[in-house]
Amino acid sequence: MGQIRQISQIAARWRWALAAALLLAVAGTAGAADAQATGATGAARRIVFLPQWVPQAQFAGYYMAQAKGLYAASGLDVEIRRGGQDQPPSAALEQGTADFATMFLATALERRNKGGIPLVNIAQIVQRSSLLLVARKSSGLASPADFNGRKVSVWPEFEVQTKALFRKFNVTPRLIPQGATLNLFLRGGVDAASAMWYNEYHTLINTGVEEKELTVFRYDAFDLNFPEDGIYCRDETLRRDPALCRAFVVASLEGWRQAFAQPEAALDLVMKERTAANLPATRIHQRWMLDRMHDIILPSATGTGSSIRMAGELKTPVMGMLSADDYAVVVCELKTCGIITDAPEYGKFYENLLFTP
Amino acid sequence: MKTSSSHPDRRASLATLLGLFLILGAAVIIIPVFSYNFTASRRTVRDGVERNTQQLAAATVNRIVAALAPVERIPRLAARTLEERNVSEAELLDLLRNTVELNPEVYGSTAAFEPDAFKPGTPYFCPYYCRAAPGKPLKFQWCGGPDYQYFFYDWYQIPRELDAPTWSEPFCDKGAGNVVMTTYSVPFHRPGKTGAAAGIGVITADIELAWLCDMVAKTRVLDTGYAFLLSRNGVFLTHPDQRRIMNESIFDLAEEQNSPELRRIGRDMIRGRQGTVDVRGLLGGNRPCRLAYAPVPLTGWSLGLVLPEPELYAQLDALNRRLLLIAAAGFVALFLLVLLLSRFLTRPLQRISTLAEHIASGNLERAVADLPVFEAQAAKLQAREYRTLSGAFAAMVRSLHSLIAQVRHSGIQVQSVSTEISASARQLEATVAEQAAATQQVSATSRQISTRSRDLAAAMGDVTALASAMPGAPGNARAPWARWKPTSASSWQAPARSPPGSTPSTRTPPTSAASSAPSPRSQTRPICSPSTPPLRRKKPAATAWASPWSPAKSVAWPTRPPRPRWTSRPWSPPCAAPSAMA
Repeated sequence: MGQIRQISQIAARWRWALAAALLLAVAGTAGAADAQATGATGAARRIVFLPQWVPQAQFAGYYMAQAKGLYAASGLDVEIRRGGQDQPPSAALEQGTADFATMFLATALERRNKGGIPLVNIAQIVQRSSLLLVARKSSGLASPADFNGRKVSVWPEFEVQTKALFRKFNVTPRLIPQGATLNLFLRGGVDAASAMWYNEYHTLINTGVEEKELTVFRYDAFDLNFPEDGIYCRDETLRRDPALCRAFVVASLEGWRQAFAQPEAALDLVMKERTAANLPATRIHQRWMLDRMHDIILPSATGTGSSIRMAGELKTPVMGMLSADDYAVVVCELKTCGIITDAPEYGKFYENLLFTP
Repeated sequence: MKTSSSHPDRRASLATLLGLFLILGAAVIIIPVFSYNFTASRRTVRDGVERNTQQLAAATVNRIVAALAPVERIPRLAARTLEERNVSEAELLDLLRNTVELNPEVYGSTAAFEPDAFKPGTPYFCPYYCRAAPGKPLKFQWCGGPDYQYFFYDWYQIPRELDAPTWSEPFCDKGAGNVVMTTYSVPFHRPGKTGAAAGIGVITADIELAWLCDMVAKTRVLDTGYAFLLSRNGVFLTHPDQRRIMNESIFDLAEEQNSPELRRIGRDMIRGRQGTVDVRGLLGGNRPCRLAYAPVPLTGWSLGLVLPEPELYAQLDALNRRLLLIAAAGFVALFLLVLLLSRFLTRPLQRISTLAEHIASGNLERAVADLPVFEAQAAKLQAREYRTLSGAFAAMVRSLHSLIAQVRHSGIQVQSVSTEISASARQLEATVAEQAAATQQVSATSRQISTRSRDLAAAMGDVTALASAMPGAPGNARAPWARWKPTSASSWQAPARSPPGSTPSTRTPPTSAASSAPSPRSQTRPICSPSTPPLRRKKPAATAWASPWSPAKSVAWPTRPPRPRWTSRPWSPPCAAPSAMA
C-alpha cells in the first residue's frame, strides 16, 4: 500500500509534465503506433471497441476520436459497437468479440475475481464517482445516519458502494432493487434513490423536481470514490501488443479533450449515434451529460462541483490514470461485501501506458 | 397671420395653437376611450375564447377519462377473483384472454406473480395476452426471466411498493407489447402464513396510446393552435413535433428555451392544477400564446391547449385597426375644420393689423383711404366682438386723422412766426456784420495810413540823405532806387506758419499762376503727410487782406523777393493712394 501511495504521489507531482507529455504523445504515438500497428503491410490495425452502454455523451470522446481521425492517425481502424444491457463488455472481451471495452472499476474487479476474466485496466477515464443518492428534503434524510429503516432503491450492480456508505454510518436501510426509471422514487415508493449525476439526476430535474427540493449524497464526500469508466482489455492483448494498447488509449484521451473543446461537434456525433440506434435523441440531456463527463473525467481541486474529496482533502487526479488510493478503496469495499475474495496488486491490474515514474 | 418679413416671428400662429389645443383635447377624450375599449374588448374576447377552450379541454379530458375509466374496473375485478380463490393455470390464462378479447379498449393483460407465489419452483410467472394485427388471434407469451425481470419494471414494482393500483408512466414495452402503452396495474394479496394479507402479484390492463394520442392530436384549436398531453412526469405524449413524443418533457423544453416561466407552468400542470396563462416557448419562433391546461384525473396526466395569441385576437385586432383608421380620419377632418375656423377668426385681425401697419409707417392717408373697404368687410363679420373691434378701430383711425390735421394746421402757423423771427435774426446778423466790416475797414485804413506815413517818413529820410549826398558826397556811387523792385501781390510767398495749437486747415497753401506746370518731383513726392491737410490755392490778395494773419506778410519787404517753396499741383485728396503718387 505504501508503494502504491508513493507512485501516486510521484504521479501527482509530475502531473503537469505528464499533461504536456500526453499532448506530445498523441503525435508521437500516431507515428510510432502507425509503424507498429500497420506493420510492414502499411494497413491499419482493425480493432473492436465496446462501450458499456447505449450511445450517449458518456462515450463522446471515443466518437470524437473516430470522427476526427485520431484513431486512423494512430494506425488504428476502430469499430465502435453499440453497448447495452444485452452486450456485457466483460463477456465480449472474454469471447474475443471486442478488443477493448469500458467498464466500471468495481465491475472489472468482480469479473476478474477468482479465476474470472483476466482483465487489465489500461486507462481510467472517469475519475470521480458520479453515483449519487438523492432524497427529497421533505423525507428528513439529511445525513446517511438518518437512513435506518428507510426505503432506498439501488441498482443491484452498484449496490456495493451504497452498502459501504451505510456500513460506515452503521445504519440498515431497506434496500429495494431499482429499475430503469426513477418513477418509484417520484411516486413516493422509496425515500431515496440512486442516480447517476450525468444521467438520471438530470432526468429527475426535468420531471419537474427542483434541485432545492433534493438532498444529494456524493460518495466521494464519504471517502468512497469508486472510479467508474475505464478502458479494459485482456491481459493477453496487452502483453502481445502494448504499443497498440497505448495508441488506442492516447488517441481516446485526445478524443475526450477535443470533445470538451468542441462540445457542439461532439454532441452532433452523439445525436447521430443515438438516431442511428433508434434511441430518443434529446440534445439538452446529452449536453448535460457531456458537461458532467468533463467534471468527472477532469476533476479539479479548485472547482467545487468537479473536485474529488478523499480523506477530507480535495484531490486532482491525472487524466487517464487509475489512482492507487481509489483502487485500494474499491478493492477493500468489494472484499468487505464479499463480492470479491481476491484482487490483484495495483501494478498488475493497472498498466500505466501514459507515464513511467 | 401675417408676420413682418423684416422681423420673422417663429412663435406659433393662433391657427396652430388653436389646432393643437383642439386636437389635444380630442385626443385626451378619445385615447382613454379607445384604450379602455381595446382592453375591455380583448378581455371579453379572451374570456369568451377561454371559456370555449376550457370547455374543449373538459370535453377532451372527459373523452380520455371515458376511455380509461372502464379499463380500471377490469383488472380490479380480476384481482378480486385471484384474491378470493386459487385459480389454476388454465383458468388464469382464460381470465386473461377474456380480458383482452372482450374489452376492445384493452390492448393486453398479464397477471405477474412474485417468485414461487403462483406455484413453487417458478421464480417468474407472468403469462401475457395481447392483440395482434386486426383479424388475427391474440398473441400469447410467457414473460419474465433473467433478461426480463419484471419485478423491477414500473408497471409491477410501483403498485407493489405502493400497494395500490396505479397507472404507469407511458412506456414502450419492448419485452412484451412493443407498442407505446400505459398500464393500469392492480396488486393482489393473499393471506400469508401469519394471516396478514401479503402482496403476491400484480394484474394489469394495458392501453395502447396511439388512438388516444391521435384523438388529442386531432383536437382542433383555432387554426394554428394545438393540443398536447403531458404524462405525470411532464413527458409529451402528444406534440406536433414527433421527436418530442415520449422523449422530452416540458421541462426539457423549458431548459432548451431557457424559460423558468414554462418550467413553472409545467410544474403546475403535473401537479394536477388547471388554468390559463400567457406563455412563450410552445410555438415556433418563441411566439406568444395563451395556454389552457386541465388535469386528466385518473392518470395524473395534463392536457394543454395552445392558442396562438395573434389568432386569438385576430378579429378584434382587425376591428381595432378599422377603428384606428376611422379615428385617424376624424383627426384629419378635425384639423381641417380647425384650420378653417382659425382663418375665420384671424382674418379680421389681419385687416386691423394691416391698417395699423399703415398708421405705424406714417401712411395715415392710406389707412383712411382703406377705411371704407375695411368697414364694408367689417359689416359682414358674423362675430359681434370683431364687428365692435373693427368699428372702434375705424373710429380711432378717423379721430387720429382729424387730430393730425389740426396739429398740422397749428404747425404751419408756428412755422410762419418762426420764419419771421428767423428773418429778423438774419437781418440783425447782417447789420452786425456790416458794422464789423466797417470797423475792420476803418482799422485797415488806419493801418494803411500808418504804412503810408512810414513810407513817407522813409522817403523823407531818403530825400534827406540824397540831399546830403549831392556831388561831392562820398559813397554815392549808385542810386538806391536802382536796386528796388516792387513786389507783386500775386507772387509766391512762404506759407504762414500756424500758431501753436491751431488746426492745420488754417495753413495757407502756396498757389501761383506760374506754377501750372508742376515739377516732376512734386508729382512723385508726397507733399503732405497723412496729418497734413491738403494744400489750397492762396486766396486772391483782395480777400487776403481780410485775414487777420496775412497783412504783415501780404506786403513783401522790398529787400529780397521771396523764393517759392511750394510747387503748384492739382488738388488731391489728403493721403492719396500710393498708386496715384507713382
